[in-house]
Amino acid sequence: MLQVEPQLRTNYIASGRVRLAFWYVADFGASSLLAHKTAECAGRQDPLAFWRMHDLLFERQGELWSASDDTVVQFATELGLDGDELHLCLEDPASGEKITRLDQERRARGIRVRPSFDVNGQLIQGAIPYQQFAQVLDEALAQE
Amino acid sequence: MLRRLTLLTTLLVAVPCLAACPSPARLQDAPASPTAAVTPPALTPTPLTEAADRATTLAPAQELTAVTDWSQVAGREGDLYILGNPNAPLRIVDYSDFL
Repeated sequence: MLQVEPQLRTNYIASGRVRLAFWYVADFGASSLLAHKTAECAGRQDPLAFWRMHDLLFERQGELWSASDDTVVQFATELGLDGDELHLCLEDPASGEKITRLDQERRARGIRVRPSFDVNGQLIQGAIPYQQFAQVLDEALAQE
Repeated sequence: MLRRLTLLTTLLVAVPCLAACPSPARLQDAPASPTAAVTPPALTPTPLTEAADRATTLAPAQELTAVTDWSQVAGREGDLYILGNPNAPLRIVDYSDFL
């Protein structure tokens, strides 16, 4: 999604024709869990902050393998979020439980390829070029 | 000659004053505040009523055009965070890891 998302935002989401949802896939144990919890906790402060953190986490992907709570709290303060609140949220068991639950649910649905996309029920597995993605969206929009 | 010169001088002073110089009555009517003095006459009941009608008519259109970039709008849909128009006909669910 990382490669095509900027174009999707500009060409489909900005105009209001498409909305984007993010589903947690935790394939890399504790590192995945911490990254997802960071996004989740940013979102609890403000839904738009989820997406700002989402972008930052992808940008700083290399740091995530060895990240600690302090690392991601620093990310939050860089975005102008409340670092203390984020830290408390990271320690809240409910944050991790939600991510684990969603990860198990996608496995139960047979979604094993990362990334995968569900476009109004049509499953796309694996990264695809923007033009191909746009074609899928245009066809789906034409049916609406 | 002197009389004609005096008459000419009087005319030269008086004629521009017809256009620009305030009469004593106008000076008395002038408001004390310089700001109020330049208030346009549009602030009368009729234009205000028209403006109110126009505002009522434009309100729905303004609501429709209030969001010009849905990529700056976020919310939640069940467990998921959503970016964009919550009423968009199409939803992409991105199953991803940040790593």
